[in-house]
Amino acid sequence: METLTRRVLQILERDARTSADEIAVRLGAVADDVRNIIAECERGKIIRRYKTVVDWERAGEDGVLAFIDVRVSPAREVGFDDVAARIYRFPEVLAVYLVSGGYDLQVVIRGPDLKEVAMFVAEKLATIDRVQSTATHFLLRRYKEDGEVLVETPEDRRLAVTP
Amino acid sequence: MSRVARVVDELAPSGIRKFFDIVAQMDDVVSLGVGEPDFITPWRAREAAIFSLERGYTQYTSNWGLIELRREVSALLARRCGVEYRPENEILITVGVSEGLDLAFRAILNPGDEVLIPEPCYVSYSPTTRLAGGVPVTVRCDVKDGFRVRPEALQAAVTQRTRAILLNFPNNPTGATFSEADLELIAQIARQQDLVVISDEIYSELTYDRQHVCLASLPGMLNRTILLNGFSKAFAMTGFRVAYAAGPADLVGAMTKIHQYTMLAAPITSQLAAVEACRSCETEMEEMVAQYDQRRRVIVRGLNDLGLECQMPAGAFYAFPSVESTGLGSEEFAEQLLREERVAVVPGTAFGAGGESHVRCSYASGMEQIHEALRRMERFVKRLTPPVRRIGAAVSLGLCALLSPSTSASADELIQLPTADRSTAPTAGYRRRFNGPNEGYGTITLPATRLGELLFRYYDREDGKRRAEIGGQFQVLPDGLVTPGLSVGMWDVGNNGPWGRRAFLVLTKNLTPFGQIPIPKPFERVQFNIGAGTGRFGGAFSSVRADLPGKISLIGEFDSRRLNAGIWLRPLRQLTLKGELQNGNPYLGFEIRAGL
Repeated sequence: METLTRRVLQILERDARTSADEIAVRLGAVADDVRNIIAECERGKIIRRYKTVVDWERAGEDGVLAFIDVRVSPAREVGFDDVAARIYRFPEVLAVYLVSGGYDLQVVIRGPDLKEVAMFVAEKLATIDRVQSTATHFLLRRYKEDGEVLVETPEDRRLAVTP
Repeated sequence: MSRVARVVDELAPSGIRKFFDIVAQMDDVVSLGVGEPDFITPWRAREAAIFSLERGYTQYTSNWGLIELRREVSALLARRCGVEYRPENEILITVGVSEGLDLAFRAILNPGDEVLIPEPCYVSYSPTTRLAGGVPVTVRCDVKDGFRVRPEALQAAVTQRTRAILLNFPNNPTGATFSEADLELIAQIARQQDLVVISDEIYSELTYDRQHVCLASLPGMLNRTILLNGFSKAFAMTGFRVAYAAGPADLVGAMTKIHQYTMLAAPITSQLAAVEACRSCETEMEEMVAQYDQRRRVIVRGLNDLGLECQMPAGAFYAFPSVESTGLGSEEFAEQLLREERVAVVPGTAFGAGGESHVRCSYASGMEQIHEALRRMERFVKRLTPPVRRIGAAVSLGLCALLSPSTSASADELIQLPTADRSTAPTAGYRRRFNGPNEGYGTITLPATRLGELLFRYYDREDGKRRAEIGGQFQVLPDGLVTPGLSVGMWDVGNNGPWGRRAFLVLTKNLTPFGQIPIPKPFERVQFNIGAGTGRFGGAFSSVRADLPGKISLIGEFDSRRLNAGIWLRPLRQLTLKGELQNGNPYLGFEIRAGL
């Protein structure tokens, strides 16, 4: 990937609302080139969408997030794909990853409370054919997300004027 | 008799102390006055320091510094600067470059020896020279040379007593740096005059758009250069106080001799953190440099847009704009800006000759803070119309009134109506009607002080006559977030009695992205003007200008007699293409704007 494209994407990943003109100034590029790069990335699905990072806790919405380790017996020809598809079609499911290690699929689920999520796992996930077992971990505290430390507020400890 | 030694008594107090005292009493200051990175030391280096404490590394090290660190520094210099130093006796670990500088002067200067110091420069060079018994001889660098010292000026300052040249590049406060060719000219002087060069290259890693060239890498310079560098800026480790001096064994040996009696050794915790920085933090360092680079472009563009002329710095993290256009001196500017808008910058005079009319703006701050500082500075600069300049503008308007020819210009259908949108650079334009009679007009607009503009127009009228018009307008109140702008002006004033029919008064409201009123999509900027005038602008009039993304503007104008509309395209910053319907007649034209 070209350096300019990578830089444009890095800036947008940090703040998707940065205008093409601002990006162009920052990178010493031509604004139209930046617009073209963004359009190209949107067309090529390199940019999937623009989202807002919402701190739901702060907004007073007490949903819960759970990570579920799912062990699956793979099947001939499809491997884990068909089971993954059965899982990712549920709207409650935020993410599904195939991972190495002690289990096969890692599923991220958001629900209104512990009980609802537990029921969903018991009724919908555990009962899927070839799902051998599930282990549910509820998220208790976010320390760092998307490269950003959430529990410390950065503080400028520098003297305001120094030579 | 003073109990303080004469040499200390005579040292001038630091020029930034006063600002520090004012800032200390204020809240909500956005500081562009900080001379250190806003990044925190990379965690790997911090973690190495913590681990070293846990393991009980709390002793003195060798006077020279830990051999592991000197080996890492040697490898770093070979890798990044292409110069080879023996870790055993050509590298000394110091407590910051400040100590290295002090050691270097003390190691080479006999009482009365002179050191050539290009200014503007870091505040400690002259005092440190004096404390070492030397005599600082400053050589002024000018903005027109991009703040690089002219080799002729350096040569001219050499005397029998000259012992050394002090170079700092990339430079604090100007951000200027040297190319290899520039350096070679200075190196020639050093070789011819047999001078030592103390080369403070602490900002070497913060060089943009090009590779930093180490002075010692030039032919014949390794043996006469004391290279000072460290970890503070590149690895954001200012508080660790760890740096190094590299040079010929005799000079570094002499410096070590002083160091062992005065400092003994740099702190071991800091040295171990620096070892880790050399080994595993280069990627993080490069990422920090990439961030500085982006901020550099934003702040330089922003300052220039404010009319504070600023060259693109090639290194360090300082922009050094001129504040001349505001009519204020550098200290006045810095102090008023701080008191009125709570933005801290450092007056250029703190850095010596050549710094007058400039301020140092550090961009070692987050992008949001830089934008906030620029917004505040915009308010400040817009407000700034020193009384002298107001009188100047009034006089120029008066002159227009007196000098304008008494002809009758009839092109009533002029886009655009007066607005409070002052041009900051000279523009020249021409419009031509493309149906019907042969008719067109050219316009030249010149900024007259920051808030006024002069206008010259020349017409080819449809009746075959040619006419000229001259005038000006002047902004009384800038268009702020809350207050509307107010501007008065006169065009074609001599035509119908001196103060009569062509005077006008305009109120504007500029909706900017930073204003409280949201801008309707898809516009980026909307400006409303309402006004009243006599003569050609008789009665009330109004106009709206809306900027769309993609450098397109839509213009609409309305008064009691006519309706105009236009679409303007700006393919380049300097060029606007205009298609307009004026009173129902189509015109095509263009406008060229000087400068950026």
